[in-house]
Amino acid sequence: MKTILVVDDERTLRVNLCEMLTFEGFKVIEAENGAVAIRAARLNSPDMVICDVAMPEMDGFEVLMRLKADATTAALPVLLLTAQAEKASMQHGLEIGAADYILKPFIFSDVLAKVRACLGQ
Amino acid sequence: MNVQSLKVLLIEDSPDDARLIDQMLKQVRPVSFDLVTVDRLEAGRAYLAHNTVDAVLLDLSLPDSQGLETLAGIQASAPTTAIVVLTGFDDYQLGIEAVNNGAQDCLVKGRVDGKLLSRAIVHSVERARSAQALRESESKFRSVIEQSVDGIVLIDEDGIIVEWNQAQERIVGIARADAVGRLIWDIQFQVTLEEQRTPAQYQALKQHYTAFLENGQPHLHDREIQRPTHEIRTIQTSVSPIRTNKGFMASIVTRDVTEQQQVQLALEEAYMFSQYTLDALSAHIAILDETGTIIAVNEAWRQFADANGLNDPTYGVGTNYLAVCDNAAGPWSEGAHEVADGIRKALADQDNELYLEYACHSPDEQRWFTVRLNSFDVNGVRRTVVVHYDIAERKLAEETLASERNLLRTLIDHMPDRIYAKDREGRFLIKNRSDAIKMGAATPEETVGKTDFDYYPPDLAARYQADDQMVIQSGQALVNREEPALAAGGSGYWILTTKVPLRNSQNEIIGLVGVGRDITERKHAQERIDKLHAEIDTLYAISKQLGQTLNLETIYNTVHAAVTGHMSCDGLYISSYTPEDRLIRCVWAWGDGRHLDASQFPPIPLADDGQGNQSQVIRTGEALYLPDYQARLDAAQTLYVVRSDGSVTGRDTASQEENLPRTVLFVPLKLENRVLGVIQVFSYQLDAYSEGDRHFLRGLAPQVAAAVANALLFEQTQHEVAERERAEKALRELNDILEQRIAARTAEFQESEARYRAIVEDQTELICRSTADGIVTFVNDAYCRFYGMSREDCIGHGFDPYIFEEDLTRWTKEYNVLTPVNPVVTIEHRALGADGKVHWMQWTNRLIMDGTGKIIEVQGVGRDITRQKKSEEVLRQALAREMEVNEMRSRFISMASHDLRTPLAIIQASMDLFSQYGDRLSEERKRSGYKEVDKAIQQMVALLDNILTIGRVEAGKLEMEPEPINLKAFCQSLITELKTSLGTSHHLNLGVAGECDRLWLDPKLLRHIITNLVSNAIKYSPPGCAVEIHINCTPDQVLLSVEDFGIGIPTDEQEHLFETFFRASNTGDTPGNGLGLAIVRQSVELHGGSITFESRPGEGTTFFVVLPCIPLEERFDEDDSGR
Repeated sequence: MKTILVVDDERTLRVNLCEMLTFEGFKVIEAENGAVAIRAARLNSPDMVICDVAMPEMDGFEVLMRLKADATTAALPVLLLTAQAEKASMQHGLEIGAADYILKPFIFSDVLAKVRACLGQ
Repeated sequence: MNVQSLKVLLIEDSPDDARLIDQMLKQVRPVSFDLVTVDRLEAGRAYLAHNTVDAVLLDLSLPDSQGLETLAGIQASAPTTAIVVLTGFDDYQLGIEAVNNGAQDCLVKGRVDGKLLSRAIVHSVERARSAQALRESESKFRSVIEQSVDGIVLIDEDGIIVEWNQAQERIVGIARADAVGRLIWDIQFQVTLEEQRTPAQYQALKQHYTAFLENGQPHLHDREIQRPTHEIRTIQTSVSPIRTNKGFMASIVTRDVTEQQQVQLALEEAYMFSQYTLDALSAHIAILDETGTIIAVNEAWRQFADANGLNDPTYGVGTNYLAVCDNAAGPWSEGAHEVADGIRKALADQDNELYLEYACHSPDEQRWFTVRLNSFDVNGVRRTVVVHYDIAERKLAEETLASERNLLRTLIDHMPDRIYAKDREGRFLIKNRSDAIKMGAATPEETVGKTDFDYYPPDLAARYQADDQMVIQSGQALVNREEPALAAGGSGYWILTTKVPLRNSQNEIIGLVGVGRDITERKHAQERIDKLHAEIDTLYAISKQLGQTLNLETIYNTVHAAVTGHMSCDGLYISSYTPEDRLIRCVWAWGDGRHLDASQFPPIPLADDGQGNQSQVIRTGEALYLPDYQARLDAAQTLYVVRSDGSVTGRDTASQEENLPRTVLFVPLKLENRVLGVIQVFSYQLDAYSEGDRHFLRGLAPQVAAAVANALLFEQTQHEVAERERAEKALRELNDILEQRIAARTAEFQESEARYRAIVEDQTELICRSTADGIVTFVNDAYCRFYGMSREDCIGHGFDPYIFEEDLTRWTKEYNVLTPVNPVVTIEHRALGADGKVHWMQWTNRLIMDGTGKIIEVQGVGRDITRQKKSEEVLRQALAREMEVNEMRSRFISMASHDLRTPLAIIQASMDLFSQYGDRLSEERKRSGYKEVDKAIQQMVALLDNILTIGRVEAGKLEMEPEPINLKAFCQSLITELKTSLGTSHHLNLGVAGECDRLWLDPKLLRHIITNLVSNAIKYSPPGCAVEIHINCTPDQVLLSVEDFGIGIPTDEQEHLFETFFRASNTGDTPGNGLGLAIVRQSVELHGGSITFESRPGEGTTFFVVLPCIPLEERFDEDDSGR
């Protein structure tokens, strides 16, 4: 069973997403902010990360950079979740190592397809 | 005793006695006697000197010696030989004395037979031999006792000392002579430590020995003694019993152990010292013997063993450490094997030192150790010290450092700014990706050790090097310097450079750190603004020049110089238009670098609508820009084209020429909505004029128009003056003849004079003349109108213009420049007009001099340039405002995008959850899901409401629709609703005073006001804080205040608080869109009210809203009265 770390400060969205991923047979770990996410990624060795960009204190780009900077988590595929529609912002995400990104609002089947692509399924 | 034969010397002077004895002894059996006889003492001694005999038979009365002397003489010659004394019957007493003096026996001559004699000799020989053996034995023992290093004392059954050897003398410091014969406890009390010499101690000693002498119990003890010389020694005493008939004697053996004990103490101290030292060390230490077996460990080793749950009470002591290391298995066993190899080498004396770092992680902890081996030999036995240091902390710190460094590196690499560090020689130490790529390197690593000379042209690199050296030598940072730079492709750009000295921990400069930011975009924007400023300055300068001349040719030349100086221009034409004859005339022409004769160009009649370019401009009064003029020619009814040599052709023949005007710009010369003419500029390039160029020419045209109009008026005046002079001359000539017509002519003059004056008076410029002494000689109507003074008030009085204090210094300075050498000065200053308003005036002051250069008058011509000044200011402010608004709008769009997409994403995700997995969800989960969707929709609706409201505010469509409301109930309900929807822990306290039940207010706007103020108070103060809301209704107004104890508003930002999209800098990540307070202010103002606030950063904010209000009753009363 693959494990996915879901990071979003917006509780409702995070819970919904986790529930659907659980129904699809994934094991899910939730994190409500960047600092928790980085600790969870180190301790629980998930197979991938879905991470919101616009979060207070530590945004998704910083989470991504910190994961990439740590040898134990550098190889984790990270799927960014964003409400910022600007291309430049997404390009920045890909340049610093995001596997892909999803624009809010999203259809779950799209998320599922990108998750499976990230996990090589 | 095996006595077969005994040799006997008989010393006897009586031959009869000698013969008798000889015969007696010969008859005796089984012992045979070999008898030698002499008759004198000396003869006996002589014999004994050379022979050994078993016994001597001695007659004490000899011719050469008598009595005991004789005995002594023989004893001296043969001290160990048995002597039997022979005496006469009457000498027996002497014989007894002889025995007492060492003779073995005494016989009386004549009373002995052979048997008795034989037995006496044999027994004497035996006794002598026993005594000799005893003497030898005693001598041997005495020698042993005297030679012994131990003190030996013998005491008899009564405790009296009978023996005291030399060693004892030495040890105790009491001579044998002083000890023998005394009681042992007396002597021992004598050497007892001075402070212990008490009667009780004496009794104890005495009792101790008395008891021993009764029971003979051997014992051993150590004690300290004090010699008579006061020296204190430690002795070890062993007391052993010797059983006798009377009881026990004792032998006491004493050993001085003072030194031995000192050595022992020193040894013990050394041992404790080394053990405590080892235990105090934090390293885990074990000492191995020559086989690798652990013989000692320290406290750290024991604690480590305890901490690892080894439960070994020996802590490995006795275990072979080599075997432990050899048997180590698992992921971290390599280190153990290396340690074993090292120990083997150390034991084999191949390599006495080993240092090794190894990892030894436990399941729940990462651990690293170093191990160090040191071998040494003790008395030829090899010992090895194994020292383990726990370096986990250092290792973890190193790993954290590496991780931090990596993070820092990643951050630096992803910064858009260029970041680098150099050493003192300018070699790159570190560089981020952005900088490496910008200077043409493939990777940042490639640049390490290289210098600017490897990447930039030599002159540029040298300049960078000079900067670097300046920073390094002076220690002063170079901050935010703007400079041109060169990118890898050779393209230029602008960069903002900061270089800071890099110091090591000793504060020595070891290089520098540089940051470069690409500011090309900003620079270009700045250039555009600078250009705009330059344009304004140019226009202003030209306008000044134009204002100072009334000569048309000068005006045209000024225009030409300004245009060619500002933009690409291959041709410039100025034409005039007179509505009276509807003709367009070229008045000034210039092409291909030379003046053309404008009079050659035929006038053109104003064409009908839609035809002719100049005609279109004159009709519409608007500029016309033709970026592709040749294409336009086909469409427009252009009459003729001016060739570059100035000749005029029809347009068909012109089309083949090379130097054709391809871009033409027409701008009307307009004065007070009347088009006086057209300026025409062309270029051989297509689309040659930028928006700026067109803007410039449009700005220039009104100045030109005004100048031309003035010049034309002046020309006309000049013309009339000349005419008058001619008329005067004619008058004088005809004076005599035409006297009767004087009156008529005079009237004509007066009319002309009035017209001249009217021209001057009609000028919009203010004119004032004064004498060199400052007495006003002339002012025109415009002057009088402006200042609200009559001409009489001015003329003849001192010229004393009122100058605003702000302008006074500058005015004085510029006015003093006015000298005969520099007779014209233009000064700008503010003046208070008769209309009560402040006007910006531009005065051109000119000295009027006579032929000798003497100043006659000073003439000032003033223009009101308030509008010009204002438009400059408005332009500047508009530019700044536009940039600010753009910035705020883009922030708003980004925010709104996030705030709309997030609830949308919640709705979409909930939809997906319900539609795809609804069958697996509980009813409870579904209900909570619907609530979440509802909340998301409410959020979006609220944001959209705000956006729509602000849209209405900006379009001016937000209207007040008042109705009767109960303000108290309204607020209570609204606050309850807010508390529920925001789910906050803040305490919302509502206080109401006055009559608030029936008021005439707009509930929609009121809702905007209260909702936004209260939700702001909640958002910007910590959870659990109070928010105080107070309403106070008076007959005239409603006072509403909302007070929080939150973050406050930075003082320098407070003036912008109500601007649309504005958000204070301390709002951080708190969601918000900068609309709320703008809506609040508008809602308050629509009520005719006002809003103010007091705020202290970090303490809180209070908003005060005042709404003018008529209670409902009064309103209806008024309505009633109005009916």
